[in-house]
Amino acid sequence: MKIVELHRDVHSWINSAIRGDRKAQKLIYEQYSSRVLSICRQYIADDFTAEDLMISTFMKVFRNLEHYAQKGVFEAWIRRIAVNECITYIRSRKKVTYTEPEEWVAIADTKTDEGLIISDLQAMLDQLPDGCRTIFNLYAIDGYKHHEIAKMMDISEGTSKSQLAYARKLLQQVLHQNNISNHG
Amino acid sequence: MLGSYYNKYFTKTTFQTMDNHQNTDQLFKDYFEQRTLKPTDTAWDRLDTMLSVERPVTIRKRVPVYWIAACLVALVAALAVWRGQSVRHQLPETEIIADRPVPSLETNESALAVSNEKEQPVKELMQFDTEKVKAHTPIKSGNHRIKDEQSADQITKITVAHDETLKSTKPIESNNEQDFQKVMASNPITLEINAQALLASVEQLTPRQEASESKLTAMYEVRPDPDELLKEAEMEASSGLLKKLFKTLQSGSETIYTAWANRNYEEEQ
Repeated sequence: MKIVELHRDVHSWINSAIRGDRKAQKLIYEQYSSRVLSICRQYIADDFTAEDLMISTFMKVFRNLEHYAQKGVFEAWIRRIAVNECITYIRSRKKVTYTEPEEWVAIADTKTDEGLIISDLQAMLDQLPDGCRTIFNLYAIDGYKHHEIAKMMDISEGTSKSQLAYARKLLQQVLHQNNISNHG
Repeated sequence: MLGSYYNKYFTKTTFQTMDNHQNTDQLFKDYFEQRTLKPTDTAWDRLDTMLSVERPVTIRKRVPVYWIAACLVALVAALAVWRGQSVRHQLPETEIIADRPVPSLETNESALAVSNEKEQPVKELMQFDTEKVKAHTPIKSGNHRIKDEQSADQITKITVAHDETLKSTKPIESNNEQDFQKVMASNPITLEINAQALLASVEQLTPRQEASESKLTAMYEVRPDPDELLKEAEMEASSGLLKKLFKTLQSGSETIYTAWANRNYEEEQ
């Protein structure tokens, strides 16, 4: 029942926000900003930059609200915009480097005195090189295919696959070591 | 704590297997799909400022290219039609007569001899003598002439009910419509026009050298306006054409009879 009400509310907010109603825009922001910031932080290893990208994501959302057909899930539409914002930022900031397999090195241990907590998954992700972190996010978390990733990042499918394998290997090593040390 | 969370996805025996690749993905996926991060308190103020600065987006509807092309084509076509009509209707009558004279009509003595007979076709009374026209009709410099053969084809048949009508009827004032209607009520003239031949003859005008002067043929010269005839034919205003033709014949008949008498007199001398 609450979901239905929220869905109805969101549509009325969208209609008002299209007309430039600032209150409706703020309601949309408050409803989705925490999710959008999480997505941006997932791709960008910097809190401030992630928040900047969240704001630019909402700017694009409000600019293009009239193009949202209101047929799909609104959150999925916002998520796609946020991911595109992050990819655009990563590609524009500098040339993205993709580490070759022989250069692979283990990422640092994220163990703390209080033990490994769940938020360390973000810390593990932050330690990955930009290229393989982005590809891992796109493939493992956001569900893109290798050919889609290759097109988005302007790389070959082989590079996408190898970078994914590299990310998995590093993450599994850290996860395994931390789990052993935590329970050993 | 990650320990129990880790054990949910991994076992020591399966850590190096393909399943653990998928489990690694699933571990991160489940975590990041549920995670939320609270933005700083100033984030909305920054966004609000950016939204205030930005002008409202006005959706500009693009006009498809093919609509522009269609409008241009329609405009050109309309201009062409309008120009064609305006040129046709605005040609000065004096210029038409000067540039496009029709051949002179010349009386035939034998025809005039039977001119008193009722229902005698005018075509017989006033025959187109091509050779005489070419030899004697004076043409002003720069004028053009329709071929005589074509002119003869344009008016397929002209019939005068009674030749005396031309003589007895008083000259009609140019704007006296009532007198004309009275005269025309007796159907003194009927004519059939071959409009296509008339149009073709107008289109095929050819320049002609000035012919030798002849007072006699000059007096006989009848110069109806072919464009005017064509216009009348197109507008199906046969009454107007008949009126003009009647006036021309009426005014020309006096001249013809006078010239014929003069020539007979000269020949007798």
